[in-house]
Amino acid sequence: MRAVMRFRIEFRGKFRPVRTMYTLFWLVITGGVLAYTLTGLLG
Amino acid sequence: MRRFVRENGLSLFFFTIFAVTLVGQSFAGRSNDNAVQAEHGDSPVTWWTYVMSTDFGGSVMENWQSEFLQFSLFILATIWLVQKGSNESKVPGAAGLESDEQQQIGRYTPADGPRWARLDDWRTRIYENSLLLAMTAIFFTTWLGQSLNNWREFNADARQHGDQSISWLTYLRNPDFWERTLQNWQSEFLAVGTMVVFTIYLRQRGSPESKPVGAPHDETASSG
Repeated sequence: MRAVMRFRIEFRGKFRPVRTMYTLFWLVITGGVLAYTLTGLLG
Repeated sequence: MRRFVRENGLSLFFFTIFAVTLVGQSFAGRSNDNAVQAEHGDSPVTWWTYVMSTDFGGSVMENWQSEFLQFSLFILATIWLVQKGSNESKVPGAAGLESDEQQQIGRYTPADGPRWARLDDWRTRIYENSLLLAMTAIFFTTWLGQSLNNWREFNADARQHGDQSISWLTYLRNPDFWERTLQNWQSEFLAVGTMVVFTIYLRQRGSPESKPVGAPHDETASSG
Protein backbone atom coordinates (compact mmCIF):
# COMPACT_ATOMS: atom_id res chain seq x y z
CA MET A 1 0.00 0.00 0.00
CA ARG A 2 2.86 2.36 0.89
CA ALA A 3 4.53 1.55 -2.41
CA VAL A 4 1.35 2.34 -4.33
CA MET A 5 1.00 5.68 -2.51
CA ARG A 6 4.62 6.59 -3.22
CA PHE A 7 4.08 5.76 -6.88
CA ARG A 8 1.02 8.00 -6.97
CA ILE A 9 2.85 10.87 -5.28
CA GLU A 10 5.75 10.60 -7.72
CA PHE A 11 3.40 10.37 -10.70
CA ARG A 12 1.46 13.40 -9.53
CA GLY A 13 4.62 15.48 -9.29
CA LYS A 14 5.29 15.62 -13.01
CA PHE A 15 3.43 16.20 -16.20
CA ARG A 16 0.30 17.70 -14.67
CA PRO A 17 -1.61 18.57 -17.89
CA VAL A 18 -0.77 15.22 -19.46
CA ARG A 19 -1.92 13.48 -16.28
CA THR A 20 -5.23 15.33 -16.69
CA MET A 21 -5.76 13.73 -20.10
CA TYR A 22 -4.73 10.34 -18.75
CA THR A 23 -7.18 10.68 -15.86
CA LEU A 24 -9.95 11.87 -18.20
CA PHE A 25 -9.70 8.75 -20.36
CA TRP A 26 -9.66 6.49 -17.28
CA LEU A 27 -12.74 8.28 -15.90
CA VAL A 28 -14.68 7.88 -19.13
CA ILE A 29 -13.80 4.20 -19.46
CA THR A 30 -14.46 3.41 -15.79
CA GLY A 31 -17.70 5.41 -15.83
CA GLY A 32 -18.94 3.68 -18.99
CA VAL A 33 -18.04 0.23 -17.76
CA LEU A 34 -19.65 0.81 -14.35
CA ALA A 35 -22.81 2.37 -15.78
CA TYR A 36 -23.40 -0.36 -18.33
CA THR A 37 -22.45 -3.20 -16.02
CA LEU A 38 -25.14 -1.87 -13.69
CA THR A 39 -27.77 -1.60 -16.46
CA GLY A 40 -26.92 -5.18 -17.40
CA LEU A 41 -27.07 -6.41 -13.81
CA LEU A 42 -30.22 -4.55 -12.84
CA GLY A 43 -31.97 -4.95 -16.18
CA MET B 1 -4.49 26.95 -22.00
CA ARG B 2 -3.11 27.27 -25.54
CA ARG B 3 -0.08 25.28 -24.48
CA PHE B 4 -2.32 22.62 -22.95
CA VAL B 5 -4.26 22.29 -26.22
CA ARG B 6 -1.06 22.25 -28.32
CA GLU B 7 0.60 19.59 -26.18
CA ASN B 8 -2.50 17.41 -25.86
CA GLY B 9 -4.09 17.92 -29.28
CA LEU B 10 -4.11 14.26 -30.24
CA SER B 11 -5.91 13.10 -27.08
CA LEU B 12 -8.27 16.09 -27.14
CA PHE B 13 -9.15 15.43 -30.79
CA PHE B 14 -10.01 11.79 -30.18
CA PHE B 15 -11.82 12.53 -26.93
CA THR B 16 -13.95 15.17 -28.65
CA ILE B 17 -14.92 13.03 -31.64
CA PHE B 18 -15.57 10.13 -29.26
CA ALA B 19 -17.99 12.26 -27.21
CA VAL B 20 -19.72 13.70 -30.29
CA THR B 21 -20.20 10.30 -31.93
CA LEU B 22 -21.39 8.70 -28.68
CA VAL B 23 -24.03 11.41 -28.26
CA GLY B 24 -24.92 11.04 -31.96
CA GLN B 25 -25.31 7.29 -31.47
CA SER B 26 -27.63 7.89 -28.51
CA PHE B 27 -29.95 10.19 -30.51
CA ALA B 28 -29.99 7.96 -33.59
CA GLY B 29 -30.50 4.87 -31.42
CA ARG B 30 -33.33 6.51 -29.50
CA SER B 31 -35.09 7.51 -32.74
CA ASN B 32 -34.76 4.00 -34.07
CA ASP B 33 -35.93 2.50 -30.78
CA ASN B 34 -38.94 4.81 -30.60
CA ALA B 35 -39.93 3.90 -34.17
CA VAL B 36 -39.97 0.23 -33.14
CA GLN B 37 -41.89 1.15 -29.95
CA ALA B 38 -44.52 2.95 -32.08
CA GLU B 39 -44.88 -0.10 -34.34
CA HIS B 40 -45.69 -2.16 -31.25
CA GLY B 41 -48.10 0.51 -29.96
CA ASP B 42 -45.80 1.44 -27.06
CA SER B 43 -45.07 4.99 -25.91
CA PRO B 44 -41.73 6.61 -26.84
CA VAL B 45 -38.87 6.69 -24.32
CA THR B 46 -36.96 9.79 -23.19
CA TRP B 47 -33.36 10.32 -24.24
CA TRP B 48 -32.09 9.60 -20.72
CA THR B 49 -34.18 6.42 -20.43
CA TYR B 50 -32.70 5.24 -23.72
CA VAL B 51 -29.13 6.13 -22.68
CA MET B 52 -29.56 4.03 -19.52
CA SER B 53 -31.20 1.16 -21.41
CA THR B 54 -29.75 -2.28 -22.05
CA ASP B 55 -30.18 -1.64 -25.80
CA PHE B 56 -27.80 1.35 -25.77
CA GLY B 57 -25.51 -0.16 -23.10
CA GLY B 58 -25.15 -3.37 -25.08
CA SER B 59 -24.28 -1.50 -28.28
CA VAL B 60 -21.67 0.66 -26.55
CA MET B 61 -20.03 -2.19 -24.65
CA GLU B 62 -20.07 -4.41 -27.75
CA ASN B 63 -17.93 -1.93 -29.66
CA TRP B 64 -15.69 -0.98 -26.75
CA GLN B 65 -14.73 -4.58 -25.96
CA SER B 66 -13.61 -5.30 -29.50
CA GLU B 67 -11.44 -2.18 -29.64
CA PHE B 68 -9.70 -3.04 -26.38
CA LEU B 69 -9.27 -6.66 -27.46
CA GLN B 70 -7.69 -5.40 -30.69
CA PHE B 71 -5.12 -3.30 -28.87
CA SER B 72 -4.47 -5.96 -26.20
CA LEU B 73 -3.71 -8.53 -28.88
CA PHE B 74 -1.67 -6.05 -30.88
CA ILE B 75 0.48 -5.20 -27.85
CA LEU B 76 0.92 -8.90 -27.00
CA ALA B 77 1.49 -10.22 -30.53
CA THR B 78 4.08 -7.57 -31.41
CA ILE B 79 6.30 -8.74 -28.53
CA TRP B 80 6.85 -12.11 -30.18
CA LEU B 81 5.82 -11.83 -33.82
CA VAL B 82 7.39 -9.65 -36.50
CA GLN B 83 6.44 -8.57 -40.01
CA LYS B 84 9.42 -7.70 -42.16
CA GLY B 85 9.03 -4.26 -43.73
CA SER B 86 6.14 -3.16 -41.49
CA ASN B 87 6.17 0.04 -39.48
CA GLU B 88 4.02 -1.72 -36.85
CA SER B 89 6.61 -4.40 -36.13
CA LYS B 90 9.97 -4.70 -34.44
CA VAL B 91 12.88 -5.66 -36.65
CA PRO B 92 13.30 -9.40 -37.30
CA GLY B 93 15.59 -10.81 -34.62
CA ALA B 94 14.32 -8.44 -31.92
CA ALA B 95 11.34 -10.62 -31.01
CA GLY B 96 10.84 -11.24 -27.31
CA LEU B 97 10.91 -9.26 -24.08
CA GLU B 98 14.35 -7.69 -24.79
CA SER B 99 17.16 -7.08 -22.28
CA ASP B 100 16.94 -4.87 -19.18
CA GLU B 101 19.35 -2.46 -20.88
CA GLN B 102 17.13 -2.13 -23.96
CA GLN B 103 14.06 -1.71 -21.76
CA GLN B 104 15.84 0.71 -19.36
CA ILE B 105 15.06 -1.41 -16.31
CA GLY B 106 16.88 -1.37 -12.92
CA ARG B 107 20.30 0.30 -13.14
CA TYR B 108 19.60 1.23 -16.76
CA THR B 109 16.64 3.47 -15.82
CA PRO B 110 17.47 7.15 -16.41
CA ALA B 111 17.29 9.54 -13.45
CA ASP B 112 13.95 10.95 -14.62
CA GLY B 113 12.55 7.52 -15.53
CA PRO B 114 9.67 5.86 -13.64
CA ARG B 115 10.63 4.70 -10.15
CA TRP B 116 8.87 1.37 -10.59
CA ALA B 117 11.14 0.64 -13.57
CA ARG B 118 14.26 1.33 -11.48
CA LEU B 119 13.27 -0.83 -8.48
CA ASP B 120 13.66 -4.12 -10.40
CA ASP B 121 11.38 -6.07 -8.04
CA TRP B 122 7.71 -7.16 -8.07
CA ARG B 123 6.65 -3.57 -8.79
CA THR B 124 8.74 -3.55 -11.95
CA ARG B 125 7.15 -6.85 -13.02
CA ILE B 126 3.73 -5.17 -12.74
CA TYR B 127 4.83 -1.91 -14.33
CA GLU B 128 6.56 -3.56 -17.29
CA ASN B 129 3.21 -5.18 -18.19
CA SER B 130 0.92 -2.36 -17.08
CA LEU B 131 -0.23 -1.33 -20.57
CA LEU B 132 -1.25 -4.85 -21.52
CA LEU B 133 -2.81 -5.46 -18.08
CA ALA B 134 -4.90 -2.29 -18.29
CA MET B 135 -6.10 -2.89 -21.86
CA THR B 136 -6.91 -6.55 -21.14
CA ALA B 137 -8.79 -5.66 -17.94
CA ILE B 138 -10.87 -3.11 -19.86
CA PHE B 139 -11.54 -5.70 -22.58
CA PHE B 140 -12.83 -8.30 -20.13
CA THR B 141 -14.98 -5.85 -18.15
CA THR B 142 -16.54 -4.36 -21.29
CA TRP B 143 -17.13 -7.85 -22.70
CA LEU B 144 -18.86 -8.73 -19.42
CA GLY B 145 -20.92 -5.54 -19.74
CA GLN B 146 -21.88 -6.45 -23.31
CA SER B 147 -22.94 -9.96 -22.28
CA LEU B 148 -25.13 -8.70 -19.42
CA ASN B 149 -26.89 -6.03 -21.50
CA ASN B 150 -27.35 -8.30 -24.53
CA TRP B 151 -28.68 -11.02 -22.23
CA ARG B 152 -31.32 -8.65 -20.79
CA GLU B 153 -32.27 -7.57 -24.31
CA PHE B 154 -32.46 -11.18 -25.47
CA ASN B 155 -34.78 -12.09 -22.58
CA ALA B 156 -36.97 -8.99 -23.08
CA ASP B 157 -37.37 -9.95 -26.74
CA ALA B 158 -38.10 -13.57 -25.81
CA ARG B 159 -40.79 -12.51 -23.34
CA GLN B 160 -42.43 -10.27 -25.97
CA HIS B 161 -42.69 -13.29 -28.24
CA GLY B 162 -44.01 -15.50 -25.45
CA ASP B 163 -40.75 -17.47 -25.11
CA GLN B 164 -38.94 -18.42 -21.90
CA SER B 165 -36.15 -16.34 -20.39
CA ILE B 166 -32.71 -17.93 -20.17
CA SER B 167 -29.94 -17.59 -17.57
CA TRP B 168 -26.85 -15.45 -18.20
CA LEU B 169 -24.65 -18.57 -18.37
CA THR B 170 -26.95 -20.11 -20.96
CA TYR B 171 -26.88 -16.86 -22.93
CA LEU B 172 -23.06 -17.05 -23.06
CA ARG B 173 -23.46 -20.19 -25.18
CA ASN B 174 -26.17 -18.63 -27.36
CA PRO B 175 -25.43 -17.84 -31.04
CA ASP B 176 -26.87 -14.33 -30.52
CA PHE B 177 -24.01 -13.47 -28.13
CA TRP B 178 -21.33 -14.96 -30.36
CA GLU B 179 -22.70 -13.39 -33.54
CA ARG B 180 -22.56 -9.95 -31.89
CA THR B 181 -19.08 -10.66 -30.48
CA LEU B 182 -17.46 -12.15 -33.55
CA GLN B 183 -18.84 -9.57 -35.99
CA ASN B 184 -16.93 -6.95 -33.99
CA TRP B 185 -13.76 -8.99 -33.56
CA GLN B 186 -13.37 -9.87 -37.23
CA SER B 187 -13.42 -6.22 -38.31
CA GLU B 188 -10.80 -5.26 -35.71
CA PHE B 189 -8.48 -8.08 -36.72
CA LEU B 190 -8.79 -7.17 -40.39
CA ALA B 191 -8.04 -3.50 -39.64
CA VAL B 192 -4.94 -4.33 -37.56
CA GLY B 193 -3.68 -6.84 -40.10
CA THR B 194 -4.19 -4.27 -42.84
CA MET B 195 -2.14 -1.68 -40.93
CA VAL B 196 0.65 -4.23 -40.44
CA VAL B 197 0.76 -5.09 -44.14
CA PHE B 198 -0.09 -1.74 -45.75
CA THR B 199 2.68 0.11 -43.90
CA ILE B 200 5.21 -2.05 -45.75
CA TYR B 201 4.45 -0.41 -49.12
CA LEU B 202 2.23 2.62 -48.46
CA ARG B 203 3.25 5.91 -46.79
CA GLN B 204 1.75 8.96 -45.14
CA ARG B 205 4.15 11.84 -44.99
CA GLY B 206 4.44 13.24 -41.46
CA SER B 207 2.63 10.44 -39.64
CA PRO B 208 4.43 8.31 -37.04
CA GLU B 209 2.08 5.52 -38.11
CA SER B 210 3.98 5.38 -41.40
CA LYS B 211 7.58 4.83 -42.37
CA PRO B 212 9.27 7.91 -43.84
CA VAL B 213 8.17 8.37 -47.48
CA GLY B 214 11.57 7.41 -48.86
CA ALA B 215 12.22 4.46 -46.54
CA PRO B 216 12.88 1.18 -48.37
CA HIS B 217 10.02 -1.32 -48.47
CA ASP B 218 12.09 -3.98 -46.71
CA GLU B 219 13.04 -1.63 -43.85
CA THR B 220 11.16 -2.58 -40.67
CA ALA B 221 9.95 -0.18 -37.95
CA SER B 222 11.80 2.79 -39.41
CA SER B 223 9.61 5.40 -37.69
CA GLY B 224 10.63 3.86 -34.36
